[in-house]
Amino acid sequence: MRASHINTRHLRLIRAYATRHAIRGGSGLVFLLVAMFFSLVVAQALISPIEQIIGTQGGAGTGKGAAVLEQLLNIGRPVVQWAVGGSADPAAREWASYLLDQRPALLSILFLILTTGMPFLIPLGAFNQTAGDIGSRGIRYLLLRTERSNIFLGRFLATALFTVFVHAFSMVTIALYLGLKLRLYGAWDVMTWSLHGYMALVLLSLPYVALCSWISARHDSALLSLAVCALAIGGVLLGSALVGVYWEPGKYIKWLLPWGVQDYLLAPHWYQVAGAVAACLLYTAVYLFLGHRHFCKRDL
Amino acid sequence: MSSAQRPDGLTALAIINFLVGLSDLLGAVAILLGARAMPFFSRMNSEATEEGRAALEALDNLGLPLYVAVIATGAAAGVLAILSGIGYLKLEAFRGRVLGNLYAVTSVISSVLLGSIMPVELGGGVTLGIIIGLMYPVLTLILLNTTFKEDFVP
Repeated sequence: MRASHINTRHLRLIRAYATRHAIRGGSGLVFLLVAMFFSLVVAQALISPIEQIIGTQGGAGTGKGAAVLEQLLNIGRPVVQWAVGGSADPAAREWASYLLDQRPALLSILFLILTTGMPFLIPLGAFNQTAGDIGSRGIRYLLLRTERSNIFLGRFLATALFTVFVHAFSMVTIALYLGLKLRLYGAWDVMTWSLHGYMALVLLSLPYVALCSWISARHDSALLSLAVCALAIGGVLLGSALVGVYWEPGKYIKWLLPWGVQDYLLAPHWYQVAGAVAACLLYTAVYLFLGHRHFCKRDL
Repeated sequence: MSSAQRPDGLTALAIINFLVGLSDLLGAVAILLGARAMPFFSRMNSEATEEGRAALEALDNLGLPLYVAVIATGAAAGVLAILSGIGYLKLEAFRGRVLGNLYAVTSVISSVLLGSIMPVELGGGVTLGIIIGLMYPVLTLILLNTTFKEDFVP
């Protein structure tokens, strides 16, 4: 059998089996709990101060609640400006104003935090796509029945779909809570911006899942794969920050991963968002190509 | 039953159960100690903010039956979580699946009690905190009766 031949039926079978068994394997369960817990705890930290004020003063959307929100925004505005480009940059001020004044501010701040934190959690669900089976030699039994491409891509699709599902559950919970309980923003605004934020989370997750696919294909140990995935994702960001202090071009190290583009998924202009979407898909394609090439050539 | 036949997901569930059970037991102890420290809190009333005074007043007005109910369900959930965690590791049907379901139901009841009876000033009502608290027990109910249903030995 040629390693590069893709059979869609085999792909579907492998993807379905891997998705169903993501929870049984343990890594899917841990990722599900940690990702949902992280999303909801961050949302709670942002929403609960306003909620408590509204609760003691009576009635959602009262003047007191809106006043507290305004105070929080005044405190948070410089932080958001720094996060999107720096306080002195006029483009960053415009961007912060778009996120805080033209869109539901609580959701915008939540998305900024989630897009920064979620890449560190992706390895928990994506580290063991093939590494464990390679190490236990169990993958040899699959090789008798299908091509390597189907195994690699099927496992990637399963992990990506599972990640999409986890993000959907978190986002629906937060959007419904904000829209139905808190009622500080209009339902249409909450719905559309939640959908935008959800798509941003999904698109930025894909390159990291693809990176973990590549790293998982390179190692015989699931634990080593997890360690390398975590080090790669965190190390690139940290390395860029540290090296950039002493050597200006060092700050571009972060462009090895989507760290340099992912914030633009929440940018105010459509061409910035389109560019970020294209970049995330390109990163995904590059890492998948590298992982697929390695998996098809290595000794299993 | 050898650990080689136990799914890794069930092992992870067991470990999380131990952590959650310990947290529930510590929470119950904290509520008990909080009730004993009420006279001290009341003396702080004049220095508190408006929201703080509302919370202190609500705490003062909570009746004994509610305290007992919250502490009892929290402690019961904690004990059941730890016992069922042991059952998951040994793949025992009663201690694993039955007590696991019982833990999940008790935890849901405890969260509902906190949400429906506890005053808003003390974090009652439908809040994200309650939803977070419901997340793991509901997931346990689903997983024990679908994904891991056939793994337990009677």
